[in-house]
Amino acid sequence: MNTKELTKGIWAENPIFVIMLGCCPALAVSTSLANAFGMGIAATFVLLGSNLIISLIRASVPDKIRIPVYIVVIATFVTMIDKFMAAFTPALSASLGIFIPLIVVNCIILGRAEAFANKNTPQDSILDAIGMGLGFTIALAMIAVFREVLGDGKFFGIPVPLIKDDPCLLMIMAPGGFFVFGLLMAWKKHLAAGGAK
Amino acid sequence: MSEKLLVTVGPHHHAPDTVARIMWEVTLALVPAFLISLYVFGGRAFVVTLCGVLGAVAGEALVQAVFQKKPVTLADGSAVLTGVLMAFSVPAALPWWTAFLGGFAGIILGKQCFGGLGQNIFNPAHIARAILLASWPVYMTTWLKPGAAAGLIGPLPDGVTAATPLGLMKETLRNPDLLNSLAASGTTALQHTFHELQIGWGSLLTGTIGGSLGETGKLALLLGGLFLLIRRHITWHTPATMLGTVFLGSLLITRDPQMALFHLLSGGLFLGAFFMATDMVTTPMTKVGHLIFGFGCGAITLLIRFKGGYPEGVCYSILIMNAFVPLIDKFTVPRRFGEVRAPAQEVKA
Amino acid sequence: MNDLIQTGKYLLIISAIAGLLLAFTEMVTAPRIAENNRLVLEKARREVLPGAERFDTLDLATTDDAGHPATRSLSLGFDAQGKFLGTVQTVSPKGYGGPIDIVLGLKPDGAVSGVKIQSMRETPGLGTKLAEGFLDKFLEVARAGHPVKFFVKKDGGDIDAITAATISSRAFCKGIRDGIKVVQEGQTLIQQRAAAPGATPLPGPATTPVAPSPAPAPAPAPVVPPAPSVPPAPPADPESPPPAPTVAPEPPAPPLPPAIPQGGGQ
Repeated sequence: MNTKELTKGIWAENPIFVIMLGCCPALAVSTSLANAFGMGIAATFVLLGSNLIISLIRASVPDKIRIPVYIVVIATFVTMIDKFMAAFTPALSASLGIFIPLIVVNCIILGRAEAFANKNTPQDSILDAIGMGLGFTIALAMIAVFREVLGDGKFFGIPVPLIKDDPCLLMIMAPGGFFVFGLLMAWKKHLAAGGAK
Repeated sequence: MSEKLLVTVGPHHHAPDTVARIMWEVTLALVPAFLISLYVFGGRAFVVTLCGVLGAVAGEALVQAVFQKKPVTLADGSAVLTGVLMAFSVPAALPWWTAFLGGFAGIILGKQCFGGLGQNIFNPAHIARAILLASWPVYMTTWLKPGAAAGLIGPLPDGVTAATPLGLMKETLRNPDLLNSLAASGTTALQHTFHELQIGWGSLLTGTIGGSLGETGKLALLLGGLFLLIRRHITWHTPATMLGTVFLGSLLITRDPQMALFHLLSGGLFLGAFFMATDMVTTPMTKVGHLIFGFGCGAITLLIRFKGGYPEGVCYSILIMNAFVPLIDKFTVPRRFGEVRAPAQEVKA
Repeated sequence: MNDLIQTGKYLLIISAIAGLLLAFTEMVTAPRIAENNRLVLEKARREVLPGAERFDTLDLATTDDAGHPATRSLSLGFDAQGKFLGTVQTVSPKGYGGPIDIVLGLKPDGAVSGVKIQSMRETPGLGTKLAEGFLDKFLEVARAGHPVKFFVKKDGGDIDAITAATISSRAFCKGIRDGIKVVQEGQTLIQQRAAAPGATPLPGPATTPVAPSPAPAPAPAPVVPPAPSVPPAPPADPESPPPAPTVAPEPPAPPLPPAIPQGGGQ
C-alpha cells in the first residue's frame, strides 16, 4: 500500500490550493460548512468511481480518443448516481443533489483521470481518489469556515454571538470567496516556503 | 538580496518633497472639510474619522511588522491619509467598528496585498468604501440629518436620518406617479428635492445637507484643492476635466442648467475630483493621461448617476478608471530622448 | 484508415454501453423520482392550506406580464368532508438572482392562507431573508387584515420590504398579486369545481345569459363551444374586473372566463 498516493492530495498536491483545479465549484458552494462538506463528499465518491473505472479500462482505451472516452464514462457515472440518489434517497438528494451537476464540470475528476488513473493501478488510483477528495473537502471547509462565520454569522448553521447581528455580507458573496481563497493560498505558499523569506 | 540595501520609493533626487511631506500636506488640505463635517454632523463625524484612521494604521502596522518584517514606518502618513479619505466617503452615522474595519480592510486588501506604498492599483480609500458598501449596505446608506443630535456612538435615535439630495432625486425620477403630480402642479423634480429636504443652493455649497461625512462641504473642499494646486501636489487637469465632464454631460442629458449645476455640486464629486482622482500612485503619469483619466471618471459617474442603480457613482468611476491607468500610461508616456521604436530597431539590425 | 475504424468502433461500443446503462437507470428511477417530487409538492400544498386532505387540479387560462396567453395550474383543496378550503398554486416572480418559486395558498374569500418558498436564487444573507424574518412578518400582515395591499411600503403598500433587498421584496409581492389575480379571474370556474369536486369541468353549457356579478360586465367573451375537446377561447381581457368573490358556490353563468379543459394544457 502506497500511503504517499493517499496523503499527497491533502497537502502537498492539494487540488484547490496547489493544483488549482475545481475552483469554480469551490467558490460557488463554500458559502457554508454544510455545503462544503456536501460538495466534498459528493465529489469524493464520484472521483472514487471514475478513477477506479478508468484505471480498469485504461489498457484497452486507444490513446487518441482517451479524453472523449473519459468524459463519456464520467458523465454516465455521475448521471447514474444523481438519478439513483433522487429515486432511492430523496433526503440525501435534496441536500447533495444540487452539487451533482456541478461535479460533472469539476475539472478535478477529469484532471485525475488524465493525470493519474490512466497511468496507475486500480489500487493506487483509489488511494489517489480518496486523498484528492479529502484535500478538496478540507480546502472547501477551510474557505467555508471564514465565509460562513464572517459572512452569515453562523457556524454550521448555529448563530455565532456578536457577528450574527451584523455579518459582513461581502464574505458570502463572490468577491468574499475570492478574497478568502487568495489569502488562504498565500498563507499556504508562505508555510510551504518555510514560513520566512 | 542584501539586508542593507534600502529601497525607497521615488523620486530619488534630493528635493524637499518627501512622501511624508506630501501625505501630511494632503491631510492638512482636508482639515477645512473636516471642520465642516464636525459642524454639520457633530461628534459622530469625529468618532468615525478617528476609527477609520486607527483601522488603517493598525492594518499598516500589522502587515509591516508580521509579513514584511520591516521597521514599522507609520510616520509617512500614507495610512493616516487613507483612513481619513475612507472616513470622508462614508456616512457619519456609520457604527464605529465598521469604520475601523473599513480602514483596516482598505489598507490590507487595497494596498498591502499589492506590495505596499506605491504598488497598489486601486485607491485604497475607495476599495475600503466599496467593501463596506457590499458588506453592510444598510449602515452605508443610512445618512445623518444635518444638525441632528445623534450621540457619539451607539444606535441612532429616531428621526435623525435624512436622504441625500442625489438619492431623493433618483427616487423622485423613478416614481411616475409623483412625477405626474409634480408636473400637474408645475414643480420641477429639483424644486421638489430642495423642498423635501429643506435645502437650497447655499446648503449645497456650505455642506448642510445629508451625505457622506466629508463630501458635503463643497467650498471647504475647493479650498483644500486650491491649496494642493498652489503647493503643486496636484495639477488642474484631472479635477477640471472630471468636474467639466459631469457638468457638461448632465447639461447635455437634462438640457437644464439648474440640473447640471445640481449634479456638479452634489454627492462626492468634489472630494473625488480633488483628492481621489489625483492620488499619485493610482492615476496616470502624464498630463494627457490626466485629461483622459478625468474624462473617464466624469463619464462613468454620469453613467451611474443617470442609468445605474446607485444614486452616486464617483467611487466606482474612480475605481474603474484606476484599472485603466496602465493602459493609459502605455499610450501616453512619451518616449525618452534617443529611444527608438522596437520595430525600427529591427529594421536597422 | 484501419486505425480510424478501430477507434470509431471503440467509441461506438463505449457510447452504446453508456446509453444502455442510462436507459436502464432512467427506467428504474423515473417513476420513483416523479413520485418523490409529487410528495414534496403535496407536503408544501398541505402546509400552505392547512386542513386540506385532497387536491383537484384545475388549469386556468391567464395572461403573463407581456400579455401573452398562459396557463396556470391550480390545485383546489378539500377537507375530508369534501368542503372546499381554497386554492394552491406555484407562482414564480423574477427576483434579483432568478425566479423565486413560491407556493401560495388562498382561501375561498381571497385571503392568504399560507405561503412557502420552494426555491430561490437570491443573494445569500440579503434576499434570502425572504424565507426568514420577512415571511413570518408577511404572513402576520396578510392574515391580520383583509384586504391587504401586496406592495412594499415604498410603493404605497402594506408590506415591510427587507432593508437593502427591495428588489427581492418587490418580486415576492408581485408573485402574490399575480396569484391572487389568477384566482380572481378564474373565480367562476373555481366555484363551479368547488361545488362539484371531482367532476370534469364543463367549460361551456351556458344557460342563463345574465351575469350575477354587480360589477360592470366584462367585454362579451365569445361563447365557448360546449365540446371539451375544442381549443379554448381567446384569453380574458386582463383589465376586465374580476367577478366579486362570493361565499356560496353560484350556478355557473356566462360570460365565463375562458378555461382550458382539464388536461388540455399539459
